[in-house]
Amino acid sequence: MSDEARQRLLAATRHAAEAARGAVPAGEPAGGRRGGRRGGRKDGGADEPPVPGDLYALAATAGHAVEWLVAARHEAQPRHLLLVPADSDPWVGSADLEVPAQDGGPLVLHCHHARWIDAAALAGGHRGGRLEASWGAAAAERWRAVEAGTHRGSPVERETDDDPEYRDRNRELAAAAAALAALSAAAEHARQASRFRNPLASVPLLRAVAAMLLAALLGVGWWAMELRRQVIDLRPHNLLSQVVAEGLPMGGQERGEVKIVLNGEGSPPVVLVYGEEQLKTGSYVLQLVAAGGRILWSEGLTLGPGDEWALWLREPLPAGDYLLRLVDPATSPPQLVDEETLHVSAP
Amino acid sequence: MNALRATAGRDAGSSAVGSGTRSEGKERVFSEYLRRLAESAEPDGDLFDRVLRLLRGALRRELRRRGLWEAPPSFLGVVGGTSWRDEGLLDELTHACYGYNFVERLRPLIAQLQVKDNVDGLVFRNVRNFVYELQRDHDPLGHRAWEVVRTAVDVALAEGWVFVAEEGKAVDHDCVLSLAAEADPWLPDDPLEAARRQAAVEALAALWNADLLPDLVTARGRARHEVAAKLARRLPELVGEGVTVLRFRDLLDPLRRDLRQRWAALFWEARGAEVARGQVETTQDADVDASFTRVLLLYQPAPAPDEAAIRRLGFRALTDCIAREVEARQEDGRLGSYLSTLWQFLRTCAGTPDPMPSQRKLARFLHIPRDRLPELHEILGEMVQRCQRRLAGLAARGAVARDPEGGEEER
Repeated sequence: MSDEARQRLLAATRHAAEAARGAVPAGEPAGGRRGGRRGGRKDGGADEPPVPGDLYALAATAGHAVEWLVAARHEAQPRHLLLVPADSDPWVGSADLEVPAQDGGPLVLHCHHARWIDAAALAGGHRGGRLEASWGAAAAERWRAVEAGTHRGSPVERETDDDPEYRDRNRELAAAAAALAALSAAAEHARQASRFRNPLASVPLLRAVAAMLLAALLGVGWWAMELRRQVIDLRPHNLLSQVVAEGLPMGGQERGEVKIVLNGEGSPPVVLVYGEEQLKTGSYVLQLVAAGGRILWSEGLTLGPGDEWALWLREPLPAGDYLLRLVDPATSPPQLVDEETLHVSAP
Repeated sequence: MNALRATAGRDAGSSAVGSGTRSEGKERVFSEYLRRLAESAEPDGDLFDRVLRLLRGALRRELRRRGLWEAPPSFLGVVGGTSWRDEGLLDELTHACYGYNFVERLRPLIAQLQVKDNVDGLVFRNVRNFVYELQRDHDPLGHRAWEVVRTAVDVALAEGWVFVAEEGKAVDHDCVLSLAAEADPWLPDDPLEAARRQAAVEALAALWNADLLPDLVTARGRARHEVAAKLARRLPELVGEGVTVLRFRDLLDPLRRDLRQRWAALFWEARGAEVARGQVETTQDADVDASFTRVLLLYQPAPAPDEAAIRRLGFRALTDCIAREVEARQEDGRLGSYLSTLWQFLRTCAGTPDPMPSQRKLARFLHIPRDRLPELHEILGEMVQRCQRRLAGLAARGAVARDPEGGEEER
């Protein structure tokens, strides 16, 4: 490599690094943001509330190689923000917006995967850049048009929609959006939990008695002796029908594994198995979330190597899709450890 | 039994772009380099050299994985030589890849580093994207072949007559595909058997291409999916030839090779005539990064004065504009269909340095009546000029944004 080429690359790197470090000076007031610049500062602007145009990196979605653009704030519920995943991949599909280099790119805003989230979910994230607020508005507008089915995209964008690698990427982005939604739900739940204590959590004896009665009724007495049992009371939600697991890990328990068995009446159990490397000993929250993000129940579990938990749905669930989430409440904000989809078919 | 377990048969770096040397991979060189840049903005010279070395190794592996190592560097827009064994060409590619990662995408990488200790995987991912993007832009024919084969495999997987041998593995170039549920996921390491299988796949690929062309290259939208579905339905023919297990690239490479040969044959006659008249270079060293100019020059005798301004908006903007115009003519029945076919052909051959094939050959290849070609060229010429004017106006006013209905507007 010639010295000239080397110096040229080093100079370009220096310039880009300075732009990345210094574009948003520390202490800049939230309202006094400069348009068209981007970049991060060391503190990530942690004290400032997020505003449209901010780009966040989140630990919960770091594996998916996305940042999140704050596109809009909800008018009626100002705590809620519309977040759009952004990456610098080479695909621009019909639902996407391309941000050119001169405006802070190259970035692609994947508006189809936008999510309304609780702003508290961004608390542990890093504000690593900023676009002009108009890009947030444009992304929100594109999202609305895509949702309404009024946006077609250009011919080349529609060709990209068919690109197999873009389809793979979209699956990844959908997973990232689901992780973000779970993070938001956990943050919302943590806030609510700090205000209201679950009345059932204060009556462990009643739950233990109920568990024994259930075990006896189902004729699994000997097995019950080996399990730490807990009964989830779903009566307030008046749930119906049966649970069927799809795409969940099933199998025998190995040494050191943690197993959570979710039993539904008249249906095969849903079994979650975590290896030692996947789950550390500690307290977790298991949530059942309905379509639309409403948390149907949320239960604290202390999990350690070799533990097995059996949870019983006293009332069957109505047909539909649900999410089963395991959240680590000790982190701030609570981090999503796992999320599985439950499909409940009609009886 | 002379057999090799398919999943164990891959070399260490082939399943992904992967890390560099084992020790450097463990040291997270990219992450460390980025961390220091985040702290001081001054690149560390030693780390910089190691980063370049790692990138170079990653690129070499990615080129092999995509079957591009033996292909002309011009397929990735690198000119001045005919082989990647020319160290200077690989250097050039490495420098461009460095810029793609550590200049253009530096901010997002540093942002991820604040929430994730190790971002080396993101850099390797960018290397894959870098090669993908270059091939898509400079080797439209090869990219098209990959798109169709990959979609065909997806269709076959969905319909259950092809299986991924290694459960849970994504379909990529190294993925082992099984054409029978009960087939053992073993690949032969007996060279004779491997050669027999390769010959069988090559023979079938030639048959399939003969049936699927020109749609394989020119079909768009739903028609493109139909081409892939047709190919998917022919995959079980491999079983009849004793091929029940193969890697994705073992399917793609013969089909792509055959497609390139047919393409070359199409252009050969015209090229031969011009070479005989001394009008073209006879080596591959001529500037083949001329997609843009080629489309413009096809319909005008000399470069337009505003060509440089339009060029800044990119070839993508031009093709998008023309594609919109072509799409608007789709209701013209057969004429619309011919226009679409001809335009897709021109797009695909835009990166080819050879002169256009004769009208006779073109008509036969595209299944378009020869007497319709002058009219089609005239209409496309008008479209190109309209797009030139539109893009020149946009280029003069500023960046382009796409409006919801697909027209460009000033942002």
